Parts: sequence; C-alpha cells; structure tokens
Amino acid sequence: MIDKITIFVPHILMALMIWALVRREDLDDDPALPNRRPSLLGRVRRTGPPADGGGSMGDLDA
Amino acid sequence: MLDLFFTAFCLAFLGAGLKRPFLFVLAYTYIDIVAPQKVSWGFLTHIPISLIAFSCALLGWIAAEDKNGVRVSPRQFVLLLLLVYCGLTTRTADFPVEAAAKWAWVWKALVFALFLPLTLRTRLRIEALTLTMVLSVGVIVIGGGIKTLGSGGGYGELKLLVNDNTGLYEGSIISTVAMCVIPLALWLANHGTIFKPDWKAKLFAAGICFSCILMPIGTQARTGLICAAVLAAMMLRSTKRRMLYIGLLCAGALVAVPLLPQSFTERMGTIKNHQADQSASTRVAVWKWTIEFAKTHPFGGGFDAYLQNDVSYDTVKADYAGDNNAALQTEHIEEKGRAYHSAYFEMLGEQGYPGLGLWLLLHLMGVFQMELISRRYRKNPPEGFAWVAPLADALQQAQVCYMVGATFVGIAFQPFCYMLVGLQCGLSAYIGRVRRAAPVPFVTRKVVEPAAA
Repeated sequence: MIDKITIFVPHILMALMIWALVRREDLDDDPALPNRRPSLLGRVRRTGPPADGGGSMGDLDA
Repeated sequence: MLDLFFTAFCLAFLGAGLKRPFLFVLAYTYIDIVAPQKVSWGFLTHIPISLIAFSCALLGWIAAEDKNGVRVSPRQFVLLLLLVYCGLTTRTADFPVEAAAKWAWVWKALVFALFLPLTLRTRLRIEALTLTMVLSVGVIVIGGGIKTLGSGGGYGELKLLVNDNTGLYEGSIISTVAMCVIPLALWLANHGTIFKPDWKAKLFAAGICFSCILMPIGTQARTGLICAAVLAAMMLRSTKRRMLYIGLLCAGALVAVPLLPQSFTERMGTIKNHQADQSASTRVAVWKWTIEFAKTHPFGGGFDAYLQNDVSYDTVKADYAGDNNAALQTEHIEEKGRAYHSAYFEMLGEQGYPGLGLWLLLHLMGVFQMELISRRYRKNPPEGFAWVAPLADALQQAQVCYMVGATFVGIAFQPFCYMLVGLQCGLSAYIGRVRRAAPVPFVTRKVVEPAAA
C-alpha cells in the first residue's frame, strides 16, 4: 500500500506536469528572449509574451 | 499491474516528447533517477529504456531545437576535461574490467550534464527540470518517509521502493540527495508556474520536505544528519524572518528528539567517537591508504582502484560500569578492498590529483556562480525575474549539501548531482542570454513626470 502511494502520487503529478508542458508555448519560446527562428517541427512561434501571462493553459493546481 | 503502469508512463512520457522534444530530456531525467526498469519486472527490464530516452533527447535537440545563442560555458569545458581525463585513466586502470564497468555509466552522467545546459533555453524548462528532479526523488522518499514514521527504520533495514543497495536506493546516498532536494522543493512551492504556488502546492512541498528530513532517520545515515544541519544553517541566510526560523527549528528539535528511535540516537552518537564504530574506522583507514596510494600514483589508479587496498586498524569499545569506571576493549580489524566512502578520496584514488582538481573546480565554480547570480538579483530584481535569486540560493544550498555529504559517501559520479551541475549551468546560461538579448529590463528607467501646468 505504501509503495503504491509513493509510486502513484508523484507519477500523477508528473503526468499533470507533462500535460501542462505540452500545452505551454513558453516551453520553447521564453517571453524574456527575442524570437529566433521557426522550429523545424513547424510550430508557430510567438513574437512576444502571451496575452494571458504565459501559462493559463498549463497552470494547474497541485 | 505495476509493470504495466511503468511501461505506460514511460511510453506516454516519450510520446509527449514527439510533440515537444524537450520532454525527452525530462523523460531521461526521470528514468535515470527512478530507474523504472529496476522497480518493474517485465517489459522495461528487457529494453535499454535509458539509452532510448537519451538518444531521443539528443536527436530531438539536433533536429528540432533552436540553437541560436547557445554557448559552451567554462564550467562545461571543465566537465568535458573531466570526461576526457576519466576516459584516459580508464584505459590505464589497475582493474581494467571493473573500471570499464564503472566507466559505462559514468560517461553517460557526464555527457548528460554537458548536454543539459544546451537544452535549458527558457525559464519554464529550468522549472520543469527542477520539478521532474524533485518528483522523481519523491517517488523514493515519500514511501521511505511513511515507512520511517511507521517503523522507525534502521541501519540497512529501511526497505525503499527497490530492495537494491545501489544508486539512489542506497541509504547514505538517498539521505544526502534528499537534503539536496529540500531547497528545490521549497523554491517550486514559492515560485512555480506549472503548479500555482497555492496552499496545495505548499502542502505537497511540505510533505516532500518532511519525507526528505525523515530519510536520515529511517536509513540512520549519519551523513544525512550532517547534511541536514548544514542545510539548516545555510537556509538561515536566505530566510527573511530569521528569528522565526530559528524559533521553529528549536521547537521542531525539542519535539522531534524525544520521538527519535533509540537506535538512531545511538548511531548518531558514534559521529563523536569514530573509534568505537567499525564503519567509521574503516573510512579513516581507507582515507589514509588513499593518501599513501596517491603518493605513488599521482594520476590515479583508474575506477575501482580501491579494490587493491588492504587496511588494518583498532576499534576501541568502552563498557561503562558506573562512575568513572569503564572497561576498554580493543579489537584489531583487517580488511581488504574496502570502498572509499568519500567522493574526495574516490577522486584522489581513482583519478589522482588532476582528476580531484578538476572535480573540485567544477563544484566550487558552481557555488561561486550561484552566489554571483543570487547577489545580482537579490535586491530589486527586474520585473519577472524575482525567481532567479531564490533559485540560485536553492541550487547553491543543494550543491553545498552534496559537497558535505560527499565527504562521507562515494558519490563523485552520482548522476543526480551532475543534473544539479547541469541545472546550474543552464540557469547561468539562461541569465547570460537574457542579459545579452534584452538589456531593457536590466536598466533602471527614470520616469519623467509631466510638468504641472
């Protein structure tokens, strides 16, 4: 039982983290840095900080 | 079921990397710390999951990452020198087979630490790596903490997730690493953006920190207790309400000490009198042997050179039978092939003075680098950069904890500690890029008030 808790709790949080990171633009484009060049994977890159402050899609409650 | 869970999680992690290649880096970090191939017993044990994750991370970076502005820092250069030097000593090692076996995982840890700063291009990536490290260690320490609360633990008795006394699952190592994680968890609880720093995040961070503090008690590793004391002293510097902090520490100690298991207090008592303890006496004897060995082998004996040591010493035990009445019992011990039990002597014996010098330079540079960043951003940080100084402080505290713990544990090449090095280099490089690219936030602007009509 203890081993299940110690495995599942951090893994659930890590899964939430991955979910949040996949959806956040500032993972690849930092608002504090100027835009460089388009990614080879073809993602559209921002030219400035997001209007919602950079993390509304990814902000999660622990 | 557990096997299926770990397999699914690893595949999902790697799958997410196809969308965001940086997640491959986090996947490798997770796999390296948790070692799911050790925890599970099926599919994952048959595939080189760690190698797959690292290959994906490297290929993802080469193919899809923006490399503009990437620079190799002097610290990465030192790391590269250490990597090359260790490779050379492996070729001339006293025990070629054993040295090759250690080299097989050491080079991966060093190469990953070299590679890590190249990928940490954004603030979110730095935070994500920190969170992954904390949660991955959490997989080990949460259970360890609960078991300690339930049973009190014991030296060599606390069963962590894997009943395998290697890597992070070894008592002294996890005790040291747990102390390194505490400042990082506190930083995430106060400055995180992936999980909002609300009461839930703070509660979870408090739980992780409590579990970490319980690790030295559960494993009864004296190293952990020393690291905890050093960390408590260092955190005094970065805390704002110092008197409250000292008061809480004293109150916590007063409550905790009577509740500690007797076996723990007895074992901690041997810190003062190492002659009564065989484990501590062995260390001192091996350290003396290493100093002598380095005189004849200044360039080291290669990995696992300790296998040739042959040490002897006397342990002195006192049986007290009343006031000023003690019977002293001396026992002569002879041992062969005992490990260094200290990263400093591990470096000296295996890599000689040049290797020890490079290793010390690598870690001391980190302490000074974090100090510089912290001082620069501590007072009046530019808008949006209030997180920098606390992170630099946390990384410095983790580094010092590691260096103190390394005095008593052979963790010179522990991969988690090289992740800390990579994280420090990444933070430093990120700050450098921000300063070069966007000087505006770093200039104090004077707002000119319009003249009154």
